[in-house]
Amino acid sequence: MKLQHLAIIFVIIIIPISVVLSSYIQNQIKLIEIQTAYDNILINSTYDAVKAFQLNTTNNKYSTISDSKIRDIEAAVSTFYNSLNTSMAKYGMSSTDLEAYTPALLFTLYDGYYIYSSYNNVYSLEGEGDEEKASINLDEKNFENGLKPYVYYSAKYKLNDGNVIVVNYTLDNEITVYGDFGDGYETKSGYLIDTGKVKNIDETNKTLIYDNDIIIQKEQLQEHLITIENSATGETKEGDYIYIFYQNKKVYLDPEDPIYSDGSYKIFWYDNYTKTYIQDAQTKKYAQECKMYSTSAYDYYKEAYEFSMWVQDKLKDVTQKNMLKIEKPDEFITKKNNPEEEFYLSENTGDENIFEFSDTNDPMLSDSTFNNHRLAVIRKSIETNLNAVISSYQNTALYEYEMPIMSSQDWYKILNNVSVVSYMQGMPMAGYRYYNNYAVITNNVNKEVVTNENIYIVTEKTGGTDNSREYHLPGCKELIDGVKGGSLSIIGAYSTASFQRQTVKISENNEKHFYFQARGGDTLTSCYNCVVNATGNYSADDIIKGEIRHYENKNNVLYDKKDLKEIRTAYLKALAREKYNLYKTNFDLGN
Amino acid sequence: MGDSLITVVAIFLAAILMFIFPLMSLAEKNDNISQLAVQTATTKFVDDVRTTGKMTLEDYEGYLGEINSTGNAFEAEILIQQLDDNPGKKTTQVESTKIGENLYYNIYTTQVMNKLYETGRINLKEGDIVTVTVKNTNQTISQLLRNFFYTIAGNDSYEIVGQHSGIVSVNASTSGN
Repeated sequence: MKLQHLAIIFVIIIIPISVVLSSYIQNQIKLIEIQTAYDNILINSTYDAVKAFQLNTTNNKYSTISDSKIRDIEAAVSTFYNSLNTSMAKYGMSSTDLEAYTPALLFTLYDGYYIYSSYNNVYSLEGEGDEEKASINLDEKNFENGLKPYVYYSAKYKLNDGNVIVVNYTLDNEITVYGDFGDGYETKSGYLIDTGKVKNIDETNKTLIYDNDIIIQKEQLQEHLITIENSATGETKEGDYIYIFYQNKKVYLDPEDPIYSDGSYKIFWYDNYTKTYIQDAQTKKYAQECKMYSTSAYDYYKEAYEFSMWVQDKLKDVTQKNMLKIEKPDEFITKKNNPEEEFYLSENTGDENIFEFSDTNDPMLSDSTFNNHRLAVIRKSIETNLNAVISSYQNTALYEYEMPIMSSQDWYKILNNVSVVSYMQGMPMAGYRYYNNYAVITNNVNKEVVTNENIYIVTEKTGGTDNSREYHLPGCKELIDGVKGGSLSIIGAYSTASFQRQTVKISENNEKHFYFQARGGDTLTSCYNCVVNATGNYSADDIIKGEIRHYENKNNVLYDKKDLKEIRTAYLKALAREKYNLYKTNFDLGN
Repeated sequence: MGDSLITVVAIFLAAILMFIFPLMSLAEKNDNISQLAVQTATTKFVDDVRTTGKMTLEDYEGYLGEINSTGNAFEAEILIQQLDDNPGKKTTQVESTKIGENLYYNIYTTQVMNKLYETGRINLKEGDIVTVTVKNTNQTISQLLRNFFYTIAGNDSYEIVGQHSGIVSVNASTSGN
């Protein structure tokens, strides 16, 4: 055979291979493109759901009441589907298709979570044509999508004396416990702190000392408000008002003519942008007694101290081995002869006592034993329930739904914030594969929880006269250096939610905006070193600990307790106050 | 004489057909696959930043490792646009009602790198925009072979490129890991 023939044969063989290969690769590229597009759409729709929830809750004074919360979540769900529909329209997906491809939406809240999915205990239809009627026969063939009942982040423990108790965890250091602790059935809730750090509790002056050098005492709080004075003419008034919290509601003092003739304070609630003057005797009495000084921070530490002492007394020797399985509450999570079962929880805290607090187990810090265990319990609870929901989801027979494995980074996000997780699976992609992915979007502006980083510290230049204020994150380098060097002085610290823009709707086309913390004509800007610009701020944990070390060289202490004293005082006071004043349905049960 | 000339031409053609053509086609496929890997890694990296609100040195180096494992050298350009919602917003002046006047500050690759190496992480906030573009800096085999026949001049003679961008959806968490 001639060389030319060989060449031709070679080309005949290689061309089809090359063509097939290139079309395969082209398809793969297309597949990745579609997958990327779907990922993006899923992230964006989830973000829209979070944003809807955020907008609805921050502007809703009753957002923490459970009926109202369900309504807000349902609104977020419909925003999610609307957004998904709009973006998916170009891929030829209808809204019914999309509902089928999203087996679950998870809404994690402060002390528990909702799962939005299908349920089959709905009415079925009997008969045909005119005879058709609803039947109470639950044939498990009809599906409807909706919110499943609220699940608390709870775990059962069998104490060494044989009693079984339940602990409800939350996104922070608050817990609720119920069961028989030796003196009959009890329900208690409160915050956990390292009891060794609280000293010199003085009930008459409402002061105490936290961590040796932080003095917690009463404080005066102030906010800027726009009030509608006359809704007919649309007359509004701006002003700075002193406020306190009473029963989780802000009570403001009217600065003009603040005292009635009978000597009581002229106080009001800020409802619907108007001043609603308070005649309630109890509220008035409280305002009179505290002289409009907030004692929330003191109350937080004092009550947390008492509760933590009680918890330590009753649950001191509880370790993870006392915990019972979430899905089988009659079995311990560990067995002596089967060490494999140690992996029931994602974090193994070994034999360490969960409810015995010390420097190494300070529940306010994210690396404490309590916190590790808390995260593991919440994760297990969500995994167990979500797994059941997704695998029993049968909207289409074509695809078997399974809960995807989620990365530990994603779990970390879910376990520390109010968040929305959406799952989308079963969509055929370019005829090769089925799409299977999820998106986690967290929400850190809400009224559900005050986390360690949800506090801004307001400062002004020492001796400055330009009325300009700045707010910083607690770990801001400029703030730490400024306060240490004396060029900045701290005015106060408030939760991040009070730095959000507030809108007053006077009439249909007349709106005004204000910021709670932009007081008396001062300009208030966010710090260019921490809030606006991206730099590696120090962690809020370091501020709580009172020691900042270099991130690589751990022996190099950059700032110590002395340098951070002022910031810590403002920060720890604000954190306590804001946590104490959150409205919680569960919290008040036990007290 | 004429025959031997034709034989030489035939051998030459056969060599091109038998070696260079398949090699070129394979090299191009290889580049396509690298392109796929680079695009996937870039999307993942940017989406991680978008949903966590922070860019860590660890993530960045992992990402570089992933794209370099395609056997090419890359240049990564990172652009972070930071939303400044200060002007005209936080005052009690009349203009405070205006919205949509937000500014963006741009931070480019070298500044990003400085910050990353200084503190190990960059915290972002809701509303910031992250864009990552990577291009290969070496000549891939397919580029080499192609240049043998025809040359593309200019700076932008890259073959593999990955790009992704998006708005950050959450404020960075500053506690824990």
